[in-house]
Amino acid sequence: MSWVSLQIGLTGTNAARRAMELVSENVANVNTEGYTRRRIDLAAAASSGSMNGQMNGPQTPTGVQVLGVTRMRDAVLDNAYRAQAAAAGSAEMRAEIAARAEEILGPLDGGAQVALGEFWTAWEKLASNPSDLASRAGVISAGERVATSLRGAAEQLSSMQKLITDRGSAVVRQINTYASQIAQLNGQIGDATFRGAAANELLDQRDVLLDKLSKLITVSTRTDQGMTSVFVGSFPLVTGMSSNEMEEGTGGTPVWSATGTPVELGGELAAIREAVNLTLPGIETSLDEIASVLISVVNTQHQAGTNLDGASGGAFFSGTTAADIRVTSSLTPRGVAAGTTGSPSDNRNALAIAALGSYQVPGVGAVDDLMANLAGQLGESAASTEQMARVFSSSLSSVDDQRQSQMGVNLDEEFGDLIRYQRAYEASARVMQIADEMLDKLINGTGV
Amino acid sequence: MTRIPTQTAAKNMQHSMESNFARLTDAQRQLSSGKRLTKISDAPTDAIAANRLRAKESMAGAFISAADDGLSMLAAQDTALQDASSILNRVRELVISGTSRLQSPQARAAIATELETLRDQMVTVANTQFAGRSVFGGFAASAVQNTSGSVAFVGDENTVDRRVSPELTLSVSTNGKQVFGFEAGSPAGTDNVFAVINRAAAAIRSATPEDARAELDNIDARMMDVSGALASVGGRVNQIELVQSQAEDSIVAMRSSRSLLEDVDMGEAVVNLKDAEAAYQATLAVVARLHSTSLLDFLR
Repeated sequence: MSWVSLQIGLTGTNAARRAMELVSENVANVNTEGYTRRRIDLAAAASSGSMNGQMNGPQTPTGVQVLGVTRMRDAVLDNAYRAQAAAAGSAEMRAEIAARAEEILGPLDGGAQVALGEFWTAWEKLASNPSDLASRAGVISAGERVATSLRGAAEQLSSMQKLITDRGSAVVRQINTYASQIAQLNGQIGDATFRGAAANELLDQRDVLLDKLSKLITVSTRTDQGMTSVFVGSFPLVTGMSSNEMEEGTGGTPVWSATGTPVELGGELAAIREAVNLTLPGIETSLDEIASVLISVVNTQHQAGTNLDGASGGAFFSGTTAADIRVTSSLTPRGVAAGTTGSPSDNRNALAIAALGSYQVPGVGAVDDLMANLAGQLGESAASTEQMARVFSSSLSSVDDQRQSQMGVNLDEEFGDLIRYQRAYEASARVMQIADEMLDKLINGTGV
Repeated sequence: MTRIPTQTAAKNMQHSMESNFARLTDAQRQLSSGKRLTKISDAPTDAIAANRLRAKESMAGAFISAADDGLSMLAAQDTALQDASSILNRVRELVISGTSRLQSPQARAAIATELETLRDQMVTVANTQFAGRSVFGGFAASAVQNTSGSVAFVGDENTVDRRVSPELTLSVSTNGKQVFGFEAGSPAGTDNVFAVINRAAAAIRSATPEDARAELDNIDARMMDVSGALASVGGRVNQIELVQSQAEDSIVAMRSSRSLLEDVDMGEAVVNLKDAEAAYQATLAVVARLHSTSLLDFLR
C-alpha cells in the first residue's frame, strides 16, 4: 500500500506542477494579443484492475492523470466576432473617407460656399458704384477666390482618390499575406497534431490572423482536422496548406488570380472600392457641375455686357470643370462688364450677374443650391457614417468582451488557482513524505 | 457569471478614461472658440442653415450700401429740383413784371439779362452730378449742352437702378428729358424750359408783352413737371429708407439666429465643462483605486 501511496503522491505533485506551469504561462501572457488562456484537464487515473488479481475486489487507486490542456475558446463567438469585424471594418473605413471628403470644401466659415456668396456680394457692391475701379477689382478677386476654392476641392479630391486607391492595393496585398501565413500555420499545426505535440501557440497565432483578415474582407471559416479553410463568398482563400491570391484587375477591381473572377467584397475592402468607384466620382461630378454651371451662367451674362471701354465683356471665367476653373487671365478691372452700354453709370449687367446665384438653369438648378446641396450632402454623410461606425465598433467590442470573458486571463483567478495548485502540490508531497516514513518504519524499524 | 479578464478590465477603464477626456477637451474647445459648429457634420441641418444665413447677411450688407448710394443720389436730385423750382418761381416773377407797361426799356433789358442768367443757372442744375455721374442725363455724362444760349438735351432716357432688397430694384435717377420739357410740345422740344426762358427774355427785350405772357403757361407746365419730379424723388427716398431699415433689422435678426445655430451657449458650455471635468476626475480616481487592487496584495 505504501508503495502505491508514494506513486499516487508522485502523480499528484506532477499534475500540480504541470498546472502551476500553465498558470504561470497564463500570467506571463496576460497582455499578449490574441492569447487564449489554458486550463489543465485532470482525471482520476484509470485503474489497472485490482492488485491481487481478484476481479471483484476493491479497485486500487492510481492517482491523477493529466488528460490534456484546453484552450478556453468558443468557435461560435469567434465566428460572431469575425462577422461583426467585417461590418465594423467597412463602417469605420466609410466614416474615415467621409470625414476626409467633408474637408474638401474648406472650413465652415471660409470655404467654397462662403466664397461663392461673397462673389455675388461683390457684384452687388459693384452695382452701387459701377465706375469704381476698386469695386471692379473686388469682383475679380472674389471670382478668383471662388475659382481657387473649387480648384482646391478638385485637387484634394483627386489626391484622395489616389490615396484610397493605393490603400486598396495595400489591403489586397495584406489579404494575400494573411492568407499565405494562415496556410503555413495550417501546415505547422497539422504536423504538430500528427506528432501529438501541443500546438496552442500556433492556434493562437492563426486566430489572430483570422481576426485581422476578417476586418479587411468578409470571410467564413471551416475547421477540419486542425486545418482551417477560409472562404471569401464561396471561393476558397485558404484550403489546408495552400492559399489563393487575389490581384487588382481592370480598374483596380480585386479578382482571383487563378480564375480572374471578381472577389466578393466585404469589410474595409468593400468600403474602399465603394469610395473609389462611387462616392468620390460622385463628388467630383457634383463639383464639376457646380463649376460648369457657374462658368456658363456668369460668362453668358458677362459676355452680354459691356466694359468701361465700350467693348463686349468676354468670358469672366475660363475652364470647364472644377479642376481648371480660373478668372480669365486677361481680365482687367476696366474690362469687367458692369453695364450694357459702357457708360460709367451703367450697372445693369452687374445687377444681373449679382442675381445669378439663384438663377435656375433648366434641368440642373441654381448654382447656390447646388453648392449648398453638395456641402450638406458631404456633411450629412460624414455625420451619419461616423454614427454608424460608432454603433458597429461598439457592438464589435461587446462581442469581443464576450469572447474575452472566455479566453482572457484574469490575474486574480490565476493567483487563486496558483494557491490551489500550490496547496495540492504540498499535500501530495506530504502524502509522499508520510508514505516514506511508513516505509522507513517498515524497512529500518522492524526486525532490527 | 461573466468573467472579466484583467486585460478587458484594463481596456474598459482605458476606454472610459479616453472618452471622458475627449468630452472634456471638446467642452474646452467649444468654450475657448465660442463655436458650437466647426464643420458641417457637427450638426448638418444647423450648419447648412447657418451658411444660408451667412450668405444672406453679406447680401443684405450689399443691399444696404446700395440703398445708401441711392439715397445720396436722390438727395442730390432733391436739392437740384428744389433749386430748379425756385429758379422757375423767379422766372415767373420776372416775366410778370417784365410785361408791365410801366417798365422802362432799360429795366426790361435788365430783366431780360437776369432771365438769361437764370437760364444758365438752370443749365447748371440740369447738369448736376453725383459722384461724377449725371443725375438727369441717364447714362450720359451730362444732360444738356449750352451752345451760346441755345440749350440742347444730350442725355439719354436710361434709368440708373439700385437693388435695395432682393425684391426691390428701383430707379434712383430722374428723366431729365421729361423734367426739363424736351419731349413736350410741338414740334418736340420747343417747350423746354430753356427755350421758354429764351423766348420770354426776347419778348420782354423787344417789348411784346403778349408774347411774354404767352410763355407763362409754359413756365407753369415746367413748374408742374419739377414738382412732380420732386414728389417722385421724395416718394422713392421714403421707400428706400423703409426697405433699408427693414434690411438693417433683418441683419440683426439673421445674425442672432445664426449665433443660436453656430455659437456656444456659454452657460450650457460651462456646465458641460464642469460635468466633463467631474466625470473625468471620477474616472481617474476609480481607475487609480481599481487598478492598484490585486489579490496579490492580500496573499502572504
